[in-house]
Amino acid sequence: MNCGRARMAGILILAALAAGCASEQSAFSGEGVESARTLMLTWILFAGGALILALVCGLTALALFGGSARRTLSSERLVVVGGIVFPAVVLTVLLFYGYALLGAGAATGAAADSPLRITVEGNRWWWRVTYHTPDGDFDTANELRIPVGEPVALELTSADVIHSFWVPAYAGKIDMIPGRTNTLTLEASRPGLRRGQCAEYCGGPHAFMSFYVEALDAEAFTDWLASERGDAVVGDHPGADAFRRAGCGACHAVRGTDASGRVGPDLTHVGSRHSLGAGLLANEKGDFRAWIERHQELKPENLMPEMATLDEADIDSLASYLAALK
Amino acid sequence: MQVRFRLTPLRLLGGVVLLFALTIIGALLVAWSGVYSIAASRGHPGWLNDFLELGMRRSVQTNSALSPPDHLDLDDPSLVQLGAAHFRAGCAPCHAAPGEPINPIFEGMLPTPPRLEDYVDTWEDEDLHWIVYHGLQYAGMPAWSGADREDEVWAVVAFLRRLPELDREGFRALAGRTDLAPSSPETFVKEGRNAAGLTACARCHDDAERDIASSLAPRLSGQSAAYLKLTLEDYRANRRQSGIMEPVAAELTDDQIDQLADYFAGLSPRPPLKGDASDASEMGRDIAENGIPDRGVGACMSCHGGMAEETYPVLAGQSQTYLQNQLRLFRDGVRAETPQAELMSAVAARLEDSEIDAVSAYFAATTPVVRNTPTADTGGEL
Repeated sequence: MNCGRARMAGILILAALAAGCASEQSAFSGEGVESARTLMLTWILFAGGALILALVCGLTALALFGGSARRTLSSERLVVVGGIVFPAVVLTVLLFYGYALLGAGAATGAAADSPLRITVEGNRWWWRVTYHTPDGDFDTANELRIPVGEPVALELTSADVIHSFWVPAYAGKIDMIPGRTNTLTLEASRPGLRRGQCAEYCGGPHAFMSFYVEALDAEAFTDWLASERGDAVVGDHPGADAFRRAGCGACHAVRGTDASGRVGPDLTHVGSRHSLGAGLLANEKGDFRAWIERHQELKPENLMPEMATLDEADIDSLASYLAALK
Repeated sequence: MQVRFRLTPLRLLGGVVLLFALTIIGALLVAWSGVYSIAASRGHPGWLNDFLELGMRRSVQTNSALSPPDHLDLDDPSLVQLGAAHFRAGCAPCHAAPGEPINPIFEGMLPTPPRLEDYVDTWEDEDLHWIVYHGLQYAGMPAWSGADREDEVWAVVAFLRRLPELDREGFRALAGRTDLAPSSPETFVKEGRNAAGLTACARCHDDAERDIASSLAPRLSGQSAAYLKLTLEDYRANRRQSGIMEPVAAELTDDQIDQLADYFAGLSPRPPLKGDASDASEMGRDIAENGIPDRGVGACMSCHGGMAEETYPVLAGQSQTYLQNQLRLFRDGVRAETPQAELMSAVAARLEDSEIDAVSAYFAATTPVVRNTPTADTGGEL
C-alpha cells in the first residue's frame, strides 16, 4: 500500500516536471532567439556541473580507498592545479562564453531598424500594450502578437509600481520601472501561443497579472495588425447601448464608438483575445459575465468600481457585446 | 457587659461594601414599589432641575469637539437659509418659531422644550452641533436622522446663531419662502391652515417660478423622472442619508413620489447660476471631459452628460457649493450605500480637494442640456 502510494507520488512528480517543461510558460522550451541562447547556456552549466561533481566524487573515493594512489593526491602540485588553476580557468571561460552567448553590450540594431515598436505599460494588475506602426498608434491590452523571425523591440514601463515582464518561452525577464523605459528584444523562432507573467510582486492580485504572446507567420501577423488597428466591427448590437448607458466609456475605449476612456484596458477587439482579466479567465461570454459581476472578488482592489447598477438584462447584453468585439 | 469594638481596616471595608449593597437594594425597592411619580405634570423640584441641567451642560461641553470645517462660513446666507427651512419643519413644532407660541401639546413635555432664541447664546458652536447631531437622552431631543451627515447639521447651527435677531416676519421670509393666499373659510374648515409644510419642496429647491433658495440644495428642474424617483425612494428607505431629506421623503406615498418626479422632470433646466463655462478653469473642463486617466478617474461626462442611464443625474447648472459638498461625501464614503453611490464613491475617492473644486466650478458654469437619449439618426454623438 505504502509502496503503491510512493510510486503514485513519484509518477505525479515526474508528470508535473514533464508538464512544466512542455507548458506554455516554460523556460525550457527555448522558442525565442534569446531564450534559446539562455537555454543552451543552462544545459552547458548543468552538464559541466555534473562532470565536475562526478570528478570530485571520484577523487573523494580515491582519497578514502585509493591505497598507494592517495599519496599523489596530497602533492602540492595537484592542489595548485586542481584547486586554483582549474576553477579560475573554467569560471573565466564560462563568464566570457556567457557574455558572448547572451550578446551582452551588443546594440539591438536589428530591432531598432524594425518599423514596428511596441510599448508595454505595467498597471496594477494588467498590461497596456501600444503598437506604434508607420500607419499610426493603437492600444490593446494583456496580449501581444509578434511576427515570427523578426526581432521586436519592447519598450517597457510602468504606470504605478515596479512590475517585471517575463515570457519564459521567448526571453529573460526585465523590470518595468515607473518613469523609466527599459528595452527588451523579443524574437520568436516559430509560431505559437505562449504565456507571460508579472515577475515582481506588485500588490495583492500580482499572481493574476499574466498575459499571452502569440507568434504569427508574417502573413498572419500583417492581417492581424490590419484588423486590430481598425475600429470595432460590431454594428447595432443591443449591448452597445447598455455599454453607453452604464458609462463604461468613461474608463474604456471602444474605437469607432463614443467610448474613449483611457483608465482601463482598451476593449476595441477584446472578444478576439486569448484571455480576460490579464490571463485570469477564458474569453467567452460567460467569462465576461463573471468579470462584470464579480471582478472585485476575482481581482480584489482593481480600479474598476462595483457595477451593481446593472440589471440582469444589461449584464447579459453587455457580456454578449464584449464577447462579440472581435 | 462591655463590648469593645475595634475599627480595623478590614471591618471598615466590610462596612463600606455593606452600605453600598444596601443603597442598591434600597434604590431597587423604590423603583419596584412604584411610589415615585414620574408624571410630567408634576415637574421637578428646583434642586433636581439644577442638578440635571448641570449634568446635561457639562456632558455636552465635554463631549463636543467638532469645529466647523475650514470651507464653511457660518454667516453664509445659503447655510442660514437651509437651516431655517429645516428648523421650521423639524424643530419649530417643539421649540416654536420666533413670534409664535409653543404649541400647548409640546409645552406639556418635561423638560419643556426651551425657546431657543433665549438659549443659544449660552452654547458654543460645537456644543450646538453636538446637541443637534446626537440629541439628548431623557429630554425628548432626537438625534439627527441622517447617519454620518454631520455636514448638514452646520446649516442648523448657522441658523441658530441668527435666530435671536429674527422676528416672526423675518423668520417666515427666511424659512418659508411661500406667501400663500389665505384660503377661503370653506377650505380652511376642511383642510386646515394653508401653511407650507414639511413636504413643500420649494422651501429649498427650485420650482416653475423660482430658483433654489439655498446653494446647498440641488436644482431639480430638468433631472430625469427616473433619477428623482430613485432619490426620493432611497431617502424614504434610509438608503441615502440626510437629516433634512429623509423626514420629507418619509411623508410621501408612491403616487406622490411619481407626481413630484414627473413635475420636476417636466421643468426646463435653468441657465447657470454664475459665470460661463469658458470662465471655469481648464482643469475642471479637462476632468469633466477626459477624467484623470493616470489616477483611475474616468470622464464625468460619460455618465453625467445626459446620454447615459436615466438614473445618473445631469450635473450642469448645479451650484458649485452643492457639487463640492456631494463630491466630498462620496469621497469620504458617507454617500456610498446605493449601487449608484457605490460606483461614484469609488471614483470620487481618487479626487483631491483642488480637483473637486475645479470640476464643481466647471459644472456650475455649464449650461444644462435637455436630457437626450440618442436615436439611430444622431448615432449617439455627444
